[in-house]
Amino acid sequence: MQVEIVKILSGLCANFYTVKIDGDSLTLFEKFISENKSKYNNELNNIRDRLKVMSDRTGARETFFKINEGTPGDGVCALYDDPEKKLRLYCVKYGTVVVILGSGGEKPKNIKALQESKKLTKENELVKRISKGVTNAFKEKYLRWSLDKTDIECDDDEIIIEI
Amino acid sequence: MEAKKKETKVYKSKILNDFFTINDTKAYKRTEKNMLLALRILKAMQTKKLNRIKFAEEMGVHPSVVTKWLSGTHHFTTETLFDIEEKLNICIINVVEPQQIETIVAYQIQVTQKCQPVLPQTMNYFNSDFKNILYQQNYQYGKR
Repeated sequence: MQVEIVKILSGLCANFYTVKIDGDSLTLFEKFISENKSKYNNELNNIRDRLKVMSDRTGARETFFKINEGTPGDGVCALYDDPEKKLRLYCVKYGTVVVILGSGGEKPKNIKALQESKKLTKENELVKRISKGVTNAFKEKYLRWSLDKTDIECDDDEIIIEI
Repeated sequence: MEAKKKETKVYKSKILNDFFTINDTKAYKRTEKNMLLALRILKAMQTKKLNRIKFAEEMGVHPSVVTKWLSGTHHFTTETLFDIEEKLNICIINVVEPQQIETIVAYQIQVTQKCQPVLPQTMNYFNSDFKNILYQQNYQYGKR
């Protein structure tokens, strides 16, 4: 699976990325928006506001996310809306400066674990794969941190990794 | 030679453009305040070298409650905020009305009086009053 990592929000405190899979026309995050726009517009707006505040003011602080949503140490976490927490957006967080947004979906109140929802399990698994792919790309020195350690970069114009 | 930072281009699309356009500034400001408040508490905890569990113990709550406080989504009561202020020795809510400050301005006024000395009818050259009159006159004409 070929994954292109694209930056969608750049700010003083944090940069947010998402991915395009196998040349899809939409990124994962765009799919997440499209899937939930009609039913959860307010929740999406709240997630948007939270992303913007993190990008411009606070950085992607660990406390703003639901952490340990993947395997230990892979940085997979979830972002949710306020106040009802109806949506889960899975992402990979690197410190407080870089976040790769994946997709997610509705988190019904009657389920406790994400494994109880097929959709959430699928999206979570995909984000875990992306996290693994990014870690390998760093190990292989295809990806590197920018000099000021606030962003990721590579020699190519487009960041494309295999997962 | 200094290496140049390679900027990653920001990906644009209509969906993302519409999504990131803020229509409700009030809601955005509220979210921003909630998150900044959480960050303020977090930083105060770090200054006091308190982790989530230790701070929860000090506040007499379960650690999961502190997690909620720091999530930037919690809706605090004033009681809780006052308790947090006391424990962390920070000011979150300023309830003291600003005092009316009395401004004291110091003026330096220089008064010059032009007068014609009234000489006594009978001059006594050894009288101290007369000496003063002469002195004032000389001072006035810059003779000192």
